Amino acid sequence: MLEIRNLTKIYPNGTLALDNVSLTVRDGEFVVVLGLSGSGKSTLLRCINRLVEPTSGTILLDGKEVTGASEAEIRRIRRSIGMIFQQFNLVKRGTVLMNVLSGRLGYVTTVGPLVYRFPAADIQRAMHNLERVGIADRTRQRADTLSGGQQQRVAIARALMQEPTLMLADEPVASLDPATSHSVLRYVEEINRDQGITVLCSLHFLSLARRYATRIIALKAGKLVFDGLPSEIDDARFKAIYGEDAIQVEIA
Amino acid sequence: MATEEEIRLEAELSIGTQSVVGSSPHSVLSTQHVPRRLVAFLLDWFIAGYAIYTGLFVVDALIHALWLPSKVNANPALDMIAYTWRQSEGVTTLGGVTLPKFLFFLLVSLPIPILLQFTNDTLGLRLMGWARPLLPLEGRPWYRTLWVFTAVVIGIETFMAGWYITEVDPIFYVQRFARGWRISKQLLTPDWSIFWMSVQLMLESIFLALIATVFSIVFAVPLAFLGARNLMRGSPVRMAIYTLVRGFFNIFRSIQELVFAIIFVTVVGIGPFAGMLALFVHSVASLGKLYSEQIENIDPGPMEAITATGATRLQTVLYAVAPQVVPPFLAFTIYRWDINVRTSIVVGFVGGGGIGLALFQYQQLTQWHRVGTVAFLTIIVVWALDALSARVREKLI
Repeated sequence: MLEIRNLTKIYPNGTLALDNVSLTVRDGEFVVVLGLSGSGKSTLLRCINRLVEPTSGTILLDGKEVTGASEAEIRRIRRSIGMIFQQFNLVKRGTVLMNVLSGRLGYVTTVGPLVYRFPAADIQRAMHNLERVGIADRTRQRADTLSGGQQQRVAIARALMQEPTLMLADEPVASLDPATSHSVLRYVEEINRDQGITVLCSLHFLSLARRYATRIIALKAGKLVFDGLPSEIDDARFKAIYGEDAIQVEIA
Repeated sequence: MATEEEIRLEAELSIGTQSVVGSSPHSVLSTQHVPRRLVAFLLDWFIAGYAIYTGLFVVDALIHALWLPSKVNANPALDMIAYTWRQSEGVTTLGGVTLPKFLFFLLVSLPIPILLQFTNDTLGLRLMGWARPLLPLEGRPWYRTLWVFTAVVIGIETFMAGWYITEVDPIFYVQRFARGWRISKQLLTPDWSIFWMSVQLMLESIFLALIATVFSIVFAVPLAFLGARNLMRGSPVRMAIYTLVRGFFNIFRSIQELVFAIIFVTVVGIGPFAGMLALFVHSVASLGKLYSEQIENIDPGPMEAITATGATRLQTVLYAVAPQVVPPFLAFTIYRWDINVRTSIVVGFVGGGGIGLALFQYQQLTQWHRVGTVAFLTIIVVWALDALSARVREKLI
């Protein structure tokens, strides 16, 4: 269970990115975060694994306090939180396999990884995860030879190497075409359903959110403006989130 | 709102006297920017003094060049301040300028900057980012503004004074052309009897450069990571190390290899070892700087992703930074080797070993045929290395 209490983030330049956000995510939920660009979605997700240092407020993951954890503790907590990104954030010159294996770094205790060598068990795990996202045949290729959708699937496999209980997805399909978006989100849905990994995913399109979310929250200028079921978002709610001039776009 | 403010400021400046220091209680700008305005005034003062001094200097030079034999001081007005660049006793002074004379110049020129301040369009104000373009209000094109005029005058004066100080004399060069041609003819008919010995010395230069480059990698790579801002951000201690390393890079990079060579030749004696040390020290600094800039330019995405998996800082560097920087590192290193081979020849001149030392000796003995041989070999090797390193860089970056 993820608990966020009174989370506020003010960047050094004075931008108020999150304004007193409180939120509880139960295990196994697929929560979609909606909001315009700059509404604080990315900041919210990055505060949860402390890629961004919150200004105030507390975050509890399965009862453990994320905020205020020491360097060593936060590494252990990050290990159980997978994350995928809009730009995939793969090492482009690295092979697919090496990219996936790097997801295991939080667990390694041997010196092997210092010279890019992993235990056989980890390599097997990597192959297994690559199979699950359907790119087991390309392990020795350079990551940047893959298409966008394939790269995002490699990123999912990398996150699965962490054996996470929570998956953060920061606009995972924003740089993909509609068809590929669905294929990527279906993999995310699958790991949510089959493995019970809680998903917190920010999206641009309401139609995608309605299709995949079990619950939707919305941010506007750093404030939580909606928290409820996908079916509860009607025209008035939509305009409250996206502004008066917005129109709904259907994505196939 | 913002545009209105702009217009108001421009109007205020164009009125001129209004915005002179503290004269207008309404002027927000003039009180806020007193130090800047003062610095601008001092700059203008210096510029005026410089313009007068250089102007007189150029006039003196022209008088001598056009109708007086160069060593005769026959202009009574200019004699008082003695403008010739070199004193007759061989003592070099700045055109005869002593401190009292310099102060005299400043004093004489003082009214000029004071008067100029009222125009609000001086070069000093420009340099301090104070004066705004006045064209919308005055309709004057930029090239007819006062500060452009000042800049052009100073530019012309500086160029003419420089010509005089450098003793540029095209006619003399043409007169001496025959002499140059004689040497060139000898250079173009190399003495092949020393060819194989020169090849051996050339190899010494190449290997000397190679060893210097390899040694410098060992020190430059770790230092580069400590000198990369994006990795060192976060704590004051880390930032202090960063500043220290960057300072080291900048200082040692700015010292020529030649200077290091002179030092090391006195330490370890004439020979390739001294040359290697000289190239090594300089290479650590310049490779380190290039490496750390490369680290600063990486895509931060993978770093974020690897950090998010719970990896340690070292693991993040190994898995997110290293793969991105190794190819450019290799490219820079090969380029550095190429540079080091070329520099080793210069370093050899002061006793750093390799072919440079031989070249120096032949030149001292005016054996131009042999200098020609060495030059020929150098051209071949430098060209080949340049082509090679260009090819490798192309493949890697």
